[in-house]
Amino acid sequence: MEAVAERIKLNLVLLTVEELKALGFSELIPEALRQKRVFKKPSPPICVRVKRIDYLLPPTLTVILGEYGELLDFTPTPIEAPYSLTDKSLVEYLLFDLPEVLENERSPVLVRDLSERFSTHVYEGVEYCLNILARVSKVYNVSTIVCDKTLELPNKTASLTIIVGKINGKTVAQIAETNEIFYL
Amino acid sequence: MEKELEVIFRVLVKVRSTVFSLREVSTNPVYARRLVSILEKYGLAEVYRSSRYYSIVLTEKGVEALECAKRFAEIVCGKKLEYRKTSFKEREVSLEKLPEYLADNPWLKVLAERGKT
Repeated sequence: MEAVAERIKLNLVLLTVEELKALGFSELIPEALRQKRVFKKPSPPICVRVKRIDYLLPPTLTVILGEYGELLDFTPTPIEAPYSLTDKSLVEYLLFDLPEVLENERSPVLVRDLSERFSTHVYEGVEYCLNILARVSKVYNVSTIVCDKTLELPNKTASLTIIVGKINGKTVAQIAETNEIFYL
Repeated sequence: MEKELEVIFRVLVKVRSTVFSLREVSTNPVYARRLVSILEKYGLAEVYRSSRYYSIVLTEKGVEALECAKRFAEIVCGKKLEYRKTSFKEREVSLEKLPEYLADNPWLKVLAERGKT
């Protein structure tokens, strides 16, 4: 319990009021709100470049939908959430372990096939993880990327969406928000 | 300072989006970079550079200033200048509260279990 408490104290900017309540640390809420008020984003922002289309992703949450395989070459190489993590272990990793990693060294983050990682409450799990990743982006000022073949649009949290699909038999990547199209 | 304020105002009236490229600021890239550096200096914009182009993203302060500039134009000309709000919803993600649709999220129970262990 003490170990958990220590990690939570280090993580107060990232955790929401509801999460602190759920964890049984309601007494830390005033301190958490104070820290959030004075919080300043670390600088510089750590962006990631999708090499295949030479597209720079901002330090926000980006979702890449469809056959994303061709776009997986990033600079710098992001930290990837281990593929073995599913359900509870994935949520815990994103909320507790990932911030610890980023505290030591800020880096872009990649999560693949998010919707396949949940065996129950899939929709809620996906939306919750997207929300956590959006907060991670904001707190650590880094790009976070979710690649998923089956995730459906629209989702409520992603800042930028890249859709990989086919037009006239040719594979293209389209930036949904700007309608830019890149032939792959 | 007045000179810089004038430059900022001119750029904000000209841009049509909260995210824009150098070309939208000026067709002269050297001049455009100078104008953008002034926006950066006042915390109105963040600049992301790739090998091919620059993306300029207005910060919250920048968007607020943009709204003021557009409002000014509306008062003077009587015509509303529209601009495109882009996708950077990241700025709306709250660190304080979960959004309503996640408030009763079953995965929060996972955290409750973790808190007890």
